Amino acid sequence: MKTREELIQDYIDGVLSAEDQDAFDNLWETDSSFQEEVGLQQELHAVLRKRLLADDGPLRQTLRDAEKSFRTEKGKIWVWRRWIIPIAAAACLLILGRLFLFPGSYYQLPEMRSEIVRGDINSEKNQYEQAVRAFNEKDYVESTKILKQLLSEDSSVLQYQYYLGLSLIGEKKFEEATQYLLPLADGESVFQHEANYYVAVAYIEGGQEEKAKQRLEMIGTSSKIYDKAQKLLKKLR
Amino acid sequence: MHPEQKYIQYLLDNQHGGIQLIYKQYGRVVVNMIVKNNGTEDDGWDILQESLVDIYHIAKNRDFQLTTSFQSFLLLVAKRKWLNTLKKNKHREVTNVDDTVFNVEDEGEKMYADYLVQEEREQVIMELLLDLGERCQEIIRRCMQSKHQEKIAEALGITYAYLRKKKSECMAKLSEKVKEHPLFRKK
Repeated sequence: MKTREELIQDYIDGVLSAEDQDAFDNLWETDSSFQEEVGLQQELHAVLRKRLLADDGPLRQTLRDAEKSFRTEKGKIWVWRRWIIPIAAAACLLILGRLFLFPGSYYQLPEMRSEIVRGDINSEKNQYEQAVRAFNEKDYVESTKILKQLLSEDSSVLQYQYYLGLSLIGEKKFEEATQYLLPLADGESVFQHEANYYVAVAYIEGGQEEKAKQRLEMIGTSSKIYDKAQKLLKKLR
Repeated sequence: MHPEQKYIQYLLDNQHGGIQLIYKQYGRVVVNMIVKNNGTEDDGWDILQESLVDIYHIAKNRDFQLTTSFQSFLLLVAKRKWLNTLKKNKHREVTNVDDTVFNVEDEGEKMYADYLVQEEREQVIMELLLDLGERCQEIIRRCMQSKHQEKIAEALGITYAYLRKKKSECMAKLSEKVKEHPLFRKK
């Protein structure tokens, strides 16, 4: 027997069986709240399909370019006046600039979620929880060790790979971190955008700012980390 | 057709020259409005960009026709966007809001009301999607982007029946969140 929610999804996706169609029709005829839920789910489907399939990325890039060129044009006089600033002061700014340009918040790692992602094997669950504790207490050496072990046992769990990449960022092993994060950044999983962000962080640390910019520009607007990425991008520009 | 409909077309066609023109003619007007109303220059440029993307979505998916000047419409969208931002960032004390711009309901707002409300509903749904767990987000994204759900199940390493079950659970969670949002809450 399917739940109301399953009947609604099957109806919207056009995969109701004859028996389920009968159950659906009964609910539709007798329950006004069911009708409302169907209406809302149809709206959600329409919006999600439209927005998730719409690609406004190229437009956003053009808008960013237009903003950049417009603001640069307006700032030319200001830039011209600055050429007389003494070289010594510029040198100081270069040294100090890095501290102000990339404050700690950009590097702040997210909290690692306490949950098991696959299976229900106790030892796996325990190990993962140990990694969560170590990671959230910033004991990245320990979390890296556990996550490497977990990933070697099941390389298909992308969550292990993602947090291993972050853990290595925490250890400041940026090059090694990119080895784990790049496949996620180039993939289609839910970690794609966040992985791109932290790959960019790793590139910045490695002095590859152009590559960092490219990674940040790939982060979609629907991502939670989009705003943070845009701010970092602005700093880089 | 309104002569300034061309600006909407520039956005739809992603025409670089046309978009440069929009920035040149209207960029400063929007930024100044935000700066006058408790925002920074960067806020202003961000709001301008997001407003132009909103206009693109409004025009792309509906038979949208401009009935006022492009500047009026752009300012209207930017104004609503900035007000929503201020509401979200409650910590930012709003002490310097220009009443003439923000508190007077103008004719344009009535004319474009349906478009603007629909745009806001869509944005709320997309924001609430991000509040779901990662697994739910992944299932919903994949199911909405492709009709081949057997293949999706295979890629996720789960059975088709389990994918259907999880999709219905995730969509129900999203529906609950949406119903709780003020924009969707029944009066």
